[in-house]
Amino acid sequence: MQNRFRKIVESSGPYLGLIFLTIALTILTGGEVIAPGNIKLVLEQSIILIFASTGLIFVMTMGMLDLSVGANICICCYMVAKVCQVNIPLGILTALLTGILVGFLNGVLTGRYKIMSFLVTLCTRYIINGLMVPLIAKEAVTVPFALYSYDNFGFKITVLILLVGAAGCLYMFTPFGNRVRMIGSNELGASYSGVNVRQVKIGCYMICGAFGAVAAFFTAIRTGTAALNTGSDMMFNALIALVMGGFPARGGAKARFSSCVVGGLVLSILTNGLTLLEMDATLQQFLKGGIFLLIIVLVSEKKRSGGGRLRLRLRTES
Amino acid sequence: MLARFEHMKKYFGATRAVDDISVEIGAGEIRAIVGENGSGKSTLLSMIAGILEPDGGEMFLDGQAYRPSSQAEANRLGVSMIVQEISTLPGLTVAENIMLGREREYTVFGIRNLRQLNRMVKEKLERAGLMEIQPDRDAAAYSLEQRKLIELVRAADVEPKILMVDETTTALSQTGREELYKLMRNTKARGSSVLFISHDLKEVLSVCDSVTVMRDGVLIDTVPTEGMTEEGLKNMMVGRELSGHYYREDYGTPISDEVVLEVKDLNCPGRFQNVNFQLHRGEILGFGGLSEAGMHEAARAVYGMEYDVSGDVVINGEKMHSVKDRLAKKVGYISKNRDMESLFNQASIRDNICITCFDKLAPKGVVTRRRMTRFAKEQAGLLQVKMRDTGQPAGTLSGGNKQKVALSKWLACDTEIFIMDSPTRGIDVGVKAVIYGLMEELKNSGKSMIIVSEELLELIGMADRILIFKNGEISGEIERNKDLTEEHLVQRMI
Ligand SMILES: Nc1ncnc2c1ncn2[C@@H]1O[C@H](COP(=O)(O)OP(=O)(O)OP(=O)(O)O)[C@@H](O)[C@H]1O
Ligand SMILES: [Mg+2]
Repeated sequence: MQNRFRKIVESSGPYLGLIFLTIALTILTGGEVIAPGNIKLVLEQSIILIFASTGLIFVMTMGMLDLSVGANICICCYMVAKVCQVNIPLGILTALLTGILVGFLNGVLTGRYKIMSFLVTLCTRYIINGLMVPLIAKEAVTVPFALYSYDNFGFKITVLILLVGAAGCLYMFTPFGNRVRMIGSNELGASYSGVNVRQVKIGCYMICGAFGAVAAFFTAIRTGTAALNTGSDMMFNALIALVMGGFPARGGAKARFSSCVVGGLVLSILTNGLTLLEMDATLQQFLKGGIFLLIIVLVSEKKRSGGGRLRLRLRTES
Repeated sequence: MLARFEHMKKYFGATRAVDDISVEIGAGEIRAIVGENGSGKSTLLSMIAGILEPDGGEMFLDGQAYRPSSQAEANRLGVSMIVQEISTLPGLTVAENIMLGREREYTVFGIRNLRQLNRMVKEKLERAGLMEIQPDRDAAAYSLEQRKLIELVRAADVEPKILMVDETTTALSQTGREELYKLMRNTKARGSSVLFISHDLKEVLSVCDSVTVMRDGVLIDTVPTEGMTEEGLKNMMVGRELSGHYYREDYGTPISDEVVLEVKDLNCPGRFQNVNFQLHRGEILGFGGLSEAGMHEAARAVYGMEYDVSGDVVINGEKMHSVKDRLAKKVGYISKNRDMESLFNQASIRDNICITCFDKLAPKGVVTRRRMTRFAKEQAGLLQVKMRDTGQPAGTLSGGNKQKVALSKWLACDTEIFIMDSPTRGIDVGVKAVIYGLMEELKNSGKSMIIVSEELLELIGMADRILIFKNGEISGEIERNKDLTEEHLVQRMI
């Protein structure tokens, strides 16, 4: 009985967190958070985040990292702003290809050359940042006026549902998605079972890059510019969003796709509420970092109290 | 009386792994624990070794209450265990592994004296006859068998009052087994006791003084081995009469001329040389040899998973370049190192079985969980995997049941050529019979198999041809015949 209760809490923790957070912030802000206008604002803010974490979930399920998410958004945002001045579809296409290319590079370096993902993506992040400096040397590039017609809530939500839905299907209902999870659970075992680990890794990074490009497009039409600091906090935010959505920090077979959507919403509400409470941005980062660590600690604590299994694992698995 | 364990209990959710078991063991006694897969043997011993916390019961050692809070404490109190799966830590050297938890013995003023450590461990290894193992090399550099032997040295080194050995013999070759028996005899001679889990009843009857039989978490009986027969033990284990049929009984059946797999001049420096053989359609080819004879590595190389290999592997007339090519030809490989190389311990049984079968499960590229569940249930049922449901993580299965899942992964996907390294490792007698029956069926339907095994009887009983590996080369070939004996095989191997 107790066991079942724990299971329910464990599987619906993120949802409970979402509800609790909403109620707490509603009380603290005197109802401002759930005002219709604000709800729309929160949703709008969450869209970009959800796109970024949807891409990231594929990489993180394999137990790998992508620290270049923010930098990728920055360069793609620049592409959107620059090329859309010539032709809008071409601009979108260029941004998408740029994102996929960045992902491909990450994927080849980690998959083909077997370099640790954290090192690879840290490097690509700085390389891209370095590229951006001369490109946006003097001032930020402004997005052409015509693009603002896309800044429309219905359009954004439709694209979100379509793309994230497609990614969800890929993750949950296809052999590819299954292989991603199995690599996260035992990479060596996966290669012995005939999974082409290299290919799957490259594929995941490309998906992550593509979703970065989509996030960049919506960032461009939201902020209207492509600047050096565009997307700079996205890497960290996407990561926290996933963890808040109940994503196991090491990835693996227990990862769930819903983490990226639920987590994106939770984090957006939190950010919005804290801003309404007029909390300083630096202080917000401090708080989020703390929450991130707290969740990680809580989750691993839960495992230990689940019996001696962990002790046994330590002896037998490694 | 050396130790007493009373009313021991361990539950995992609804699974009663150990359900009110009381046993006593005397000083200088070698006690076997037998039972079907999933009957709770490993769970019971893990509680004694301080690895698992009991849900109930009391333990006494030397007349005093014994409640280890961890494995390290159990070790200090004189209880050590060689676990079923591998437990040497990769990344640590052999010496560090052997002296794990006893760093103080080679630390001077807070600094670890590695020279002293390596010298100390070198001596221990030599005493155990393991000259070829270097104390300062990474434990992961050694084969599964050698890592098991390293664990053996570690367990022996603390001179335990109770030494527990969980299903280790099937990972060892004949020479390794001798080492293990010697260690057990020495322990007995010191007046200490041994708890020994094995599925090889013949071995149990020859090396143990008494046997405790378990079934579904409860104690059936403890009897002396004297006057006991294999049949009698089997019946006690399963609770019903077993049919006599076990290995194949046909002799002299002609094998098809069609060569499905041909290996030409396969070489891997330091592991094996000049391996040449042909595998025919519907043939079971056995690989036998002592430790470090290169047969495990050769089998892995045929699957394309060994590094630094030269030579050709040709399947159905086509040269193989990668594992992907082999999969296209429907080759399946079952590794001896199941935790690392074949199972996904956190993933469900369903995911474990389905990973090789997506061509079949998702012809249009989409697969639902319902479909996977049904498929996995069917396949697991075929090998009688003892589980709650197919969503149970594979890591929580008993050793033998893990092996069944590893097997069923390849049985499920219509494999044409099986390369099986120690296929029945840790599987109980009842299910072994089922697997042998299945192998015979597969053979009759034209599938081919390479079986690498330390179990000589398995090779004699199942293989059409046995290739003997010695010092990394194929030193001989034996055709299937009625008069072949274990002694005969061992002679050819030495
Ligand atoms: N951590 C766990 N969670 C859930 N069930 C478990 C766990 N560990 C063991 N079990 C279950 O407890 C039962 C007993 O397992 P145990 O490993 O003791 O069997 P065993 O007798 O050693 O079998 P084998 O001969 O296959 O090694 C099995 O049904 C197994 O699935
Ligand atoms: Mg066991």
